[in-house]
Amino acid sequence: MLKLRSSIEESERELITSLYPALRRIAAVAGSFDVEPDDLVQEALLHTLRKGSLSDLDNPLAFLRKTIVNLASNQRRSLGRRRNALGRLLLEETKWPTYPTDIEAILDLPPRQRAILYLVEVEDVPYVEAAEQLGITTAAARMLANRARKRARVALEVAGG
Amino acid sequence: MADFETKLRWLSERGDPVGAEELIERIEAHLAGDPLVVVARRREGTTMTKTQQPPTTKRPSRYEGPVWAAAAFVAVLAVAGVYLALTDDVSDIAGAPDDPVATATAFLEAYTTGDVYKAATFLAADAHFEYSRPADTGSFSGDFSDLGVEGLSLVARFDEAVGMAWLPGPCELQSSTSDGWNVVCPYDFHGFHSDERGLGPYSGSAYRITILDGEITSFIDSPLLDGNAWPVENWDAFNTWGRETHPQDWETLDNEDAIASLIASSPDQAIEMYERLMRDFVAFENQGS
Repeated sequence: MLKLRSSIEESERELITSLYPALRRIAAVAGSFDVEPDDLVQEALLHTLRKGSLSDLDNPLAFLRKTIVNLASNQRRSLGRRRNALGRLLLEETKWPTYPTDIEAILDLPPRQRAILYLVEVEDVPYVEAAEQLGITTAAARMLANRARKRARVALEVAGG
Repeated sequence: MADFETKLRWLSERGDPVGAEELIERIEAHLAGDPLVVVARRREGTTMTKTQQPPTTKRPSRYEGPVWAAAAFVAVLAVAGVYLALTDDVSDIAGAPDDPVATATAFLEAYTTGDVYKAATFLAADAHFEYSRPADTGSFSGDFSDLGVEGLSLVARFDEAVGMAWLPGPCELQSSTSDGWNVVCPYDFHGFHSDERGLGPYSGSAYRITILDGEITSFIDSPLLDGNAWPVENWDAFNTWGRETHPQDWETLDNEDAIASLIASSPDQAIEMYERLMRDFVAFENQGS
């Protein structure tokens, strides 16, 4: 049954405080550039807390990171649809957020590919663990990472001329 | 790789963190004014007074907009809240629910009738797509973007060539996870023109579909080709007949590398071969009937 509550337990408060930096980093990597990473973390936590207690989760970090990446994928699709629709109507008036051009190759990757690349390349998380954090199989994680590397490398080469 | 690392590290540190403390405050403020809580209180008969209205977050939201937009948003959340409050075990989804069963049904209507362009509109670009077919006519497991509409079109052409017909039954919502709504759609199928040969349909198969935010993020199409009458009545019968009557074609069909290479390099030629063989096979099977 859905749990309804209006406060956060002390143990959850401590858990959120300890997980916050890791959650924010994955949100910053997986989220669209125009979405505040903190908003994504907040949404993932709200979503989880509405369902139950954080203390009930076997692996809160993995669960919350998976939720963040799913939310980011979700937002990317919604944003893409909104941009397509708006693009037809307001092409010249619409201004999308700007970011350094050399980061574009990474931002073009789907959120899940960005997340897996970040986890294994920057945080040195083993594939088994990274797969768990994204809710996919280890084989799929390896495949995603390879695909992301290939795609980003090509984009970087093109950008570099 | 160092280049990726630098960019990813930069990306992971972008923006100005609000800090855990403020984030917790914001979450508590949201929970206190959560439409789900409001709906539950109303269902319990508790009246909300003005002083019990949800507090605003300290940080101005970037979603702030006209009052009507906020009202509409709250109304949508309230409706979603009623839905969630009345439904067990369906709260574990990261995204607003469209009707997943309707989405799955509409997708299958297009997919099983070969309307691949329409079918593709239901699939997320990075959807996981998996299918397997008999007679080495193909299998795939990966991102839909790698298969593409062209790939899907080829699947439909091979299906037609080997006389596959899909008979989907009603879809059912099985569960929901943070990956989305999981819908299962049982189906029967015909293959190698079993319908024209008075056999089948073969049951026990099911499409497994995951839907998030109205889009299909995972689709698994793996018909049951073993443990039922399918292999004996179709695959074995086709092979027995073909090896005797079309030995030259079977030199290719019996050689896994040869048939895989033919399908990959000349799909049109492979489709033509299957169509021709199937026509002859059906004619042979129906002789004297």
